[in-house]
Amino acid sequence: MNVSLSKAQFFLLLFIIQTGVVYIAFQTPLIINSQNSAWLIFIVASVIHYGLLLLFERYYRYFYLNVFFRWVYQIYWLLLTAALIAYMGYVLASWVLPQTPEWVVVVMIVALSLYANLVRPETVINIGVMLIPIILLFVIFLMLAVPDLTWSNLFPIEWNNTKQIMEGLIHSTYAYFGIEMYLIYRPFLKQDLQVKGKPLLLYQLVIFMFYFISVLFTQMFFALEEIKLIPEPITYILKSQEVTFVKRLDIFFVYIWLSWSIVTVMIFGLSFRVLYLSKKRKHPKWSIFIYHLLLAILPLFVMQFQRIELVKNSLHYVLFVFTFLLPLVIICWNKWRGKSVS
Amino acid sequence: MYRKGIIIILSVFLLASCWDERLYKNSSVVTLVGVEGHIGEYKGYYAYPNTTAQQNEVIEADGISPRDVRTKANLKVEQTLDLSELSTILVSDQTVREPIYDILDIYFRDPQNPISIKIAITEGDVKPFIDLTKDLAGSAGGYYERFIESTEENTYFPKLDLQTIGSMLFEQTMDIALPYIQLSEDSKHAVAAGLALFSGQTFTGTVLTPKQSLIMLLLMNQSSKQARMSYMWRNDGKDIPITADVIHVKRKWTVNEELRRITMDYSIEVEIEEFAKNHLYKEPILKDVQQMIQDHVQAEFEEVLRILQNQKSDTLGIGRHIRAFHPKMFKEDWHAEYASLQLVPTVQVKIIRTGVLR
Repeated sequence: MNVSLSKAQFFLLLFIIQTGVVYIAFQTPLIINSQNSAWLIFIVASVIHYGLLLLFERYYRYFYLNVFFRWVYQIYWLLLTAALIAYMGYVLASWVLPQTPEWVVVVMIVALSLYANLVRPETVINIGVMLIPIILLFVIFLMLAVPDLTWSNLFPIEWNNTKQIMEGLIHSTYAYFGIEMYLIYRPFLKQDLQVKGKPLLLYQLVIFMFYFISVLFTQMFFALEEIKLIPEPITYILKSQEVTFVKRLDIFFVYIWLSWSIVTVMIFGLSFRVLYLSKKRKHPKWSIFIYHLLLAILPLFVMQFQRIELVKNSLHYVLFVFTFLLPLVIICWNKWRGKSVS
Repeated sequence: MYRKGIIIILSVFLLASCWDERLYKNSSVVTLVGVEGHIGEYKGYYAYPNTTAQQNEVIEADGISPRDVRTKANLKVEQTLDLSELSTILVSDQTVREPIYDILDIYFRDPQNPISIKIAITEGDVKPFIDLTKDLAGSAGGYYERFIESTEENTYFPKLDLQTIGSMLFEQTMDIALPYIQLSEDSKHAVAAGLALFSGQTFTGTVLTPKQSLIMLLLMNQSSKQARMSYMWRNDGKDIPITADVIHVKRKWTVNEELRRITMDYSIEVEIEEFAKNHLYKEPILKDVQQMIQDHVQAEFEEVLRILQNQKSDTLGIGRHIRAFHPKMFKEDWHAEYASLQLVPTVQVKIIRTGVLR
């Protein structure tokens, strides 16, 4: 596939994929597992994430995927996207569309992704631009909750509980999942563009602040015992705010989150396309169609409370393997063999 | 061609929300809910406006749970009850002798229910409080919402809504104190009778008087637009009334972990709003009045703290402070620990304004 990305397109792509879907929910498991220290542990996780970005920037050429690993990642993305769509459908059914058949919601999401992936790749790459102002609205309206925040909820910090720290770090992977996309899309960046240094640091700071505000607000808004019952804390905070122009602020933001998450699904579709079409195929559109057909069917088996809970309670381990461990192993292996992306 | 096909198919799916369409014209929009009874035997009251008669209709129902009561109430109305415009919940004081969360769960769980609403505890049965809204031309819930909000502005009720109450119910480190209302002697309007003290999720049975409620809110550093205190100043054998409005409150808590003692230093700046004797520009009068107010407030602070500790009701959030900044001193059974702490308040009152007269 012949695509050339500018720096802005590249980082926007990464930002959408790393923040979509999980933004309204990742705070709950993080705070449940690391208690009052969650915000500090998240800072540590963010530093690790930045270190990983620097490492990926240095060695991205060695992220060469052979046929086997190409299929591994394609299947991983398919299943991950199916799980994300199932969660999107579940959230919509819980918050705004309880009567709408689940399959209609799934088909709607998948159809949009299918359309975006059947046309030029630039469509998926650039569609995120329209999200920038509405994502900012998310943060601005969160600020309405400031008077209700209890800052003493951030203390005490337990820094000697290793289990708590490790659990917190591993649950922070929800915030930074999809970082492997850096390795996938980095070779498509225009040759003469400089990424390391200031641009990378700026990207890290933006995504960190975006997430960090949500962690702080969640911790200060909810009691520790209460947060165990709130699966989507950011939506709940918005629901509890009273504004004059709309009765339920949460509905407004659930739809913003939905459009943001649909773009994430589109980017996963594009990533599948990038890997699958890295070799010349006879019927490229059919493969995209089949990928989306599976995406329309698989989530329907997961959209129940217990299955969603199972996915949420185990997905971070899967993310840890495919987002952090496997890329590192592949890079080390290829560096040792001297094989790199052309 | 296939693009047109896809666009047509997508347009069909844009109709998705049709399944969830809810029109107000097909619902009885409830603005006030009353609950009494206990698990297994709840009684609920739902007030909704009747636009043709320009008054409020009240529907009663029984059930084993608050949700069941609502289901039963739906059997008695021509249009399903819709609580999305709910503004106030009234609960009987006997009902909150059991954990209050039992009746609030449905409001937190159902996204269609608003959670930025007011809640108040009634003296005795809820029914007469609901009934007095029947002849109101405006919304029944709006009446109580305005009533509670104006009392909040006078620093008799804390600024709370369902969500903030919910947060406190889930932690042991801070208790709630909810507006307590009673009927006037002629039973024609509601009267703010003070604050119902809770210990954990249950009502202790103790109600602070409006004056004690104001003092408690000063201890919490939550004075609102007005916080007026009236005292009698005795001078030359005459009693002269004086009213002071709190302008600023500063507080500093110092914790001695070994002695389990908390020194609570308060500095209160007030404006004199009533003093018929005048001549506050004379320093001896000003000093004397200031000292008199300070002595009264000091005594009232001590009295309210004693009540709060006796009732094991940590409405000031001392537990929150201790857990955050003195975790070694914090105990899991916080209420027992709280009751045995030594709380030492010291108040300093300063008159900083005297109105437009001296």
